[in-house]
Amino acid sequence: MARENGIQKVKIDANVAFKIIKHTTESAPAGVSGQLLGLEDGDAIEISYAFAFPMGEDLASSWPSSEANKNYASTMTESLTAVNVVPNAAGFYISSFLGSNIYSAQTLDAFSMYQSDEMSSPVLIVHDPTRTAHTASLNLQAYVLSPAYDAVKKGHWFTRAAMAKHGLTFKDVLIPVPVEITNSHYANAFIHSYAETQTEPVNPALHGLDLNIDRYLCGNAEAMLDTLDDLTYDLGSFQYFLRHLNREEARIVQWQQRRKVENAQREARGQDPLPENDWKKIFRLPNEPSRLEGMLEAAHVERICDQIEQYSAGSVPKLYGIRALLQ
Amino acid sequence: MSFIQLTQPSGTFGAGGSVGIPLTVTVHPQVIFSILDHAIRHEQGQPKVIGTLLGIRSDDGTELEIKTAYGVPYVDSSEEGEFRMDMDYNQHMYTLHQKIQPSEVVIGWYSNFSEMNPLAFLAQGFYGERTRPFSPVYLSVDARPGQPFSVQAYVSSKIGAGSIRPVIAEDGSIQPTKTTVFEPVHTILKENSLVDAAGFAQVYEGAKSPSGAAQVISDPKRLQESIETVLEMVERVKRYVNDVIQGTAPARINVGKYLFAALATKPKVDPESVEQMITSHLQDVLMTVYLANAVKAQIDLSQKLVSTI
Repeated sequence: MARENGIQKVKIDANVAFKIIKHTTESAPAGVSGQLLGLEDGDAIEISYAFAFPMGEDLASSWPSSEANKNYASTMTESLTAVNVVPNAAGFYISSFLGSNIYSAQTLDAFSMYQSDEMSSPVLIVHDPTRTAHTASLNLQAYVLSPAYDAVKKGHWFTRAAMAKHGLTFKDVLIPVPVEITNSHYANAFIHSYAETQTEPVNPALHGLDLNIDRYLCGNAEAMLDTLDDLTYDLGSFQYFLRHLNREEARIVQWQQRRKVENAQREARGQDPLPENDWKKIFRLPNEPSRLEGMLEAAHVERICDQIEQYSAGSVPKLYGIRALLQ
Repeated sequence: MSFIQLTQPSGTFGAGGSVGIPLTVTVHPQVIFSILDHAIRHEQGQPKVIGTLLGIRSDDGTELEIKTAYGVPYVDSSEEGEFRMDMDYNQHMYTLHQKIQPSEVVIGWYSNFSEMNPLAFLAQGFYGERTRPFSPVYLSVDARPGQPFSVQAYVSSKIGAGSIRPVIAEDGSIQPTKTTVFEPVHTILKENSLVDAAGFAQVYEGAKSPSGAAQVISDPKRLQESIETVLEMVERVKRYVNDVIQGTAPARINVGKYLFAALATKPKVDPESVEQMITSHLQDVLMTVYLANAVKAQIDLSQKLVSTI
């Protein structure tokens, strides 16, 4: 059930944030995932607990929708009830590197897996450890599946017509939702006492001013080119389909014209005309390939482009700053 | 030439077969958050929570790094003097955690109380069986209101005569041995990495706000904060130096030396080459942005065209 206003906010506990940070950072650069437990509360989702999934050999086996991880999740959830954790799955988290893993078929599979009556819009939290390390600012993002995607998916086939009908474009497969980290009173007490005992300032501000900007930009540029290759391949196969379609359509038109001429002649001879719709029996129009993959790749490329823009928005002032300093 | 081989005295002084008494225990903030979360989820009428600590022990056993914590249920009926940890549950959870991070092993236990009570000795006995031959580490996280927040690690050693090992009765309960002594160990709270620090900075924002919550903000906003922080630091140093010059503040040699060293790190470079370097970098960055924009426009167009053909 897609709701009118949708989820406006994702509140996560500090404990959850650190569990995600630990898991995604330690297993970098491999893509890993985990489960989020929590409840829907009006227009917000409150995530109160998270646990990691074991890493598989590839993306499919590391993701929540794999058979092994489904078993792991049920065992873990059951065990956690013994220490009073709410056993309600609210979604999942994944690690991403330079925008990878997010727009993948596995991620979308996991979304539909978590969709249930209690959890109408499961949430996805993405952490990019590389980006956090490069900008010294925690890069946690939350997404929910767009209702338009849901509607198209119910029709089982991502055709251009279905996408146009529901207004789905590559830009809105996933809808970003603001993330808020909530601390318990205990956590607040700890944070304050910890901040006091640290000799260095808690704000890792100075790392954020690091001038080593080339590496991240290069990585992004390379990732962009790789994804563009995939996208071009997808567009190529789509164009192949279009050519095929055009050819068949041209042949049908030709056939129809021939039949018309034939019928005119038959009429002149006083014979019954032949049916004009017989072409359906003779010709078969090719099936339109699913647009899903191409759409995901387009969304991936756009994400990388956005990353480059956002990162540069911080890099350019830094460069001007250092110029002023050195002169 | 002759050699003499000296073996390091292994920590056998704490009897009971415990070797390698840790000298320092490093705790990552995330472990504390995990423990505090468990403390909130405590059982009705059982405000004390106990759980297992996983981490990494250095080869000689003198350094410990606590990385993960999870709660373990226990039964405590004080009237009958019975105390039982659910060690099956512990083993089950341990197996589940091993699948995620095989390098982390059981190194001890935690609780949310700081006073030494019979519970602590009993739990230490249970975990001692689990961490043999090492002594289990006990991490006390005391978050009771109205008291300073304290995080302290302890190890235990056995002193005096009597039974060295705790006596385990047939029903699995452990009879306390009165010969256990807890000794505090040097406990360091430290972030693991820059990513952790960034995470901590984020929750610190929340701690400063009255609602205890803070939204995760964008990178440029964070950069602005960084620059403001640095400017404030520079301002503070300037004030201090001015005060010293005017004689209103005492001149401290150490600070002076430090400032000199800091100023000396500014490289002496030819302004022209700097200009050139920065300009070429700027051009690279802007070029990449330009490329990204072009690609974005192209993708937009191609996807629109596909849907209109």
